[in-house]
Amino acid sequence: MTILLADDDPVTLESLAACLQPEGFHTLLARDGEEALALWQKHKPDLLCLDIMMPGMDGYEVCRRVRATDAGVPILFLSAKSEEIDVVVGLRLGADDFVRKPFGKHELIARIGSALRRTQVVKSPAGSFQLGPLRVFPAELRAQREDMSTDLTPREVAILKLLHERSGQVLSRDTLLDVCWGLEYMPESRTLDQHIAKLRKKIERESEEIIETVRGVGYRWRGQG
Amino acid sequence: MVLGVMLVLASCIALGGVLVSRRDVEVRRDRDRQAQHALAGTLQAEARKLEVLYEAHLLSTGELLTQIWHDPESARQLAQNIEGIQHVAWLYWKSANPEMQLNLGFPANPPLPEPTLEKEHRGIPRPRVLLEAKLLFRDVGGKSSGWIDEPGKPLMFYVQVLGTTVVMVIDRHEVEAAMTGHFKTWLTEGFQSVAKLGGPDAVQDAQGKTLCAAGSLPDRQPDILGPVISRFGVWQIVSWDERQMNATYHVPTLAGSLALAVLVAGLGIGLSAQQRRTAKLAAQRVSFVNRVSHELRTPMTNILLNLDVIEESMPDSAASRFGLVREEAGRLSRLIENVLTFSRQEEGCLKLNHGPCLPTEVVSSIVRQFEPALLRRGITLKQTHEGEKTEAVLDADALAQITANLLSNVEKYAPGAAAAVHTRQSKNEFTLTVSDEGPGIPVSEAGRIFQAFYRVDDRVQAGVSGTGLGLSIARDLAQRMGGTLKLIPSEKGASFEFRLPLEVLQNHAGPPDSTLTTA
Repeated sequence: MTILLADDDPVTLESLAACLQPEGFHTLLARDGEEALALWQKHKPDLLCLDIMMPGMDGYEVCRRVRATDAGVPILFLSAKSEEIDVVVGLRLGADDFVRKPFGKHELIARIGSALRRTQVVKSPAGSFQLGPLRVFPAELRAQREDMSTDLTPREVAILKLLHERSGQVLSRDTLLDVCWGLEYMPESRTLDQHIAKLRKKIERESEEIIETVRGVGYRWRGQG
Repeated sequence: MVLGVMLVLASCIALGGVLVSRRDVEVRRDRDRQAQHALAGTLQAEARKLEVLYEAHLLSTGELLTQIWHDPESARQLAQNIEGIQHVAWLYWKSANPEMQLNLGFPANPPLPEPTLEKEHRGIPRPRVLLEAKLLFRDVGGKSSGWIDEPGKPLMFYVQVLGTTVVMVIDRHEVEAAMTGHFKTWLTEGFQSVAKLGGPDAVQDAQGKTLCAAGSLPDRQPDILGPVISRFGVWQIVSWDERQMNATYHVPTLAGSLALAVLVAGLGIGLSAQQRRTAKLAAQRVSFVNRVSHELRTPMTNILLNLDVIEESMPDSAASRFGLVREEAGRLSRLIENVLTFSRQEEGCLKLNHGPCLPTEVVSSIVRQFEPALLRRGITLKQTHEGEKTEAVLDADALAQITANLLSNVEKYAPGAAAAVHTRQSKNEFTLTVSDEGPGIPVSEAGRIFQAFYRVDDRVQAGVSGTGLGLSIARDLAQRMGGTLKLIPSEKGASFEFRLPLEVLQNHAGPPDSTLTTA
């Protein structure tokens, strides 16, 4: 999942990247509109987060140019000047959402997930899989459990996907890290535990264990039944 | 507005002053009196000449009549040659048959009075005028004549020759008419030229009938009357002075009212300028607050994002402090949000951005943000939902702000108490109820808690922080969204209910009546 981030404030840009990367998003960073457009043309990211007020080409213009060739890619506007955003203009240009500063990581990820879902729903729902009581929709970054829909990060989807693919098998910490984080990434060992803990909090109910801890080895999903 | 009212008031004062101080004065220019009198004198002389002429005719006719008393027909012809003779009577000095009457007028009813000597008293019911024999026959040996013009008697002229007296009853009006006719002819040529030289305007008879006039005459009474008097009638020369209406003003009144008007107008201009300055200053302040708040948003975003980034690498020993920092950052964000919303309200540029969202999800995310802070203050929060969970079109940020402001109140005012957030969604309505079992709100304060900057007194004294904007903003946003926010009666503590009519977009929800509980 690749996200193009464009903001003229370097701290914001770096912070956004630092929030999204650990959650499994691949990020492309642009300091202004021209750079954003060039990166978009080169990498065709899955989603764009654009600041509105940027030197040179502003967010609206980038949106307009992207929409001229791609009607489907979700575009989020991030702005500190929300009341100056002409929502009508923005929506006419084809923006999917406006995220008002200040916002935190969780809100941003939720809005990204929501934007992705809105565009993915039209596409094929294929690729979903059942993990115990959960139905996981990887493309939409969510899991459905009865009436409850839970937002997931790409990393969490990757973990659940691996558990599903190797149901019944105990997955070692190294395997999980290698597959879900990639070989080039060297996370701290507690990173995995923290992710699993957060994931459990999201998907498991009281006294329920979908993801089973195998002490000293790793994690396992026992499979159906 | 003020300027307009004051200017209207000033105009009214000025207009009133002009009306009150105005006086209409009639200016009169006298006509040339001498020209009037000259014409009057000439006309009087002419009248006198006619009188003398007439009297001479009467005398000669009377003398002839004394001689032809025995021939009534000749006498009639003779008397009719002269205008104005109505009746002729013959009276004789010491005669047994002293009178003979000749009536020349048309048969009159009542009949004309008959001149009769005083000594005769026959009691015949005929109109008579008694004449004194001493007067008529004072010179019986010779001739005598004269006018008998006494009140209560018709105008008569008598001629006595040797004991025979002829008394002629004269019709004044007939003679007057004849004289009027003569005057008309006499005036025809000269009057207009006299009038042009400033002479009289008209000549009228005794009844006010105009003989001749220079142009049209005014309706009012004439200013100058020059009477022309004769035994037979009265005429008058009339003139009107020139009159002109001039408006004058009572200067002290006028000056006073104009000064007052200028004062009021000046006051209006001053007040208006002051008002504009104040409004501009207020707008500048609001604008400044707005700008500052905007500038605060970017660093605030950076703080929040970086807190999220370092959360995972935070050692357990620092976790509670880290949580505190995050809560305070969240509180600061909400404060900035409220100040911005308020300044935008004040500037009149607050707009809602409606879009599809899951209202229950918006509420849940805010509840999640508040959980650590509530926990620290010993508040047990129970979140429940009833009904559908579908996407609806509304301003998610406004809903989040309303929820946050209500929860912020719970956090501040109900430490250690139980609290509940209940959402209910049906096809066409979304309801959010936030209630706590804290000290509640006194009934006397209930009406004012939604006012901006208003804070319940004892809470301020109790040291609870706050701007006094939260509920005011929440209610305003609720109303702008088309909903309502009310303090609803509850057995214990305070309970706020936000109701919003919904426009549902699409339907992809699970079964109703699911319950999620957080502590």
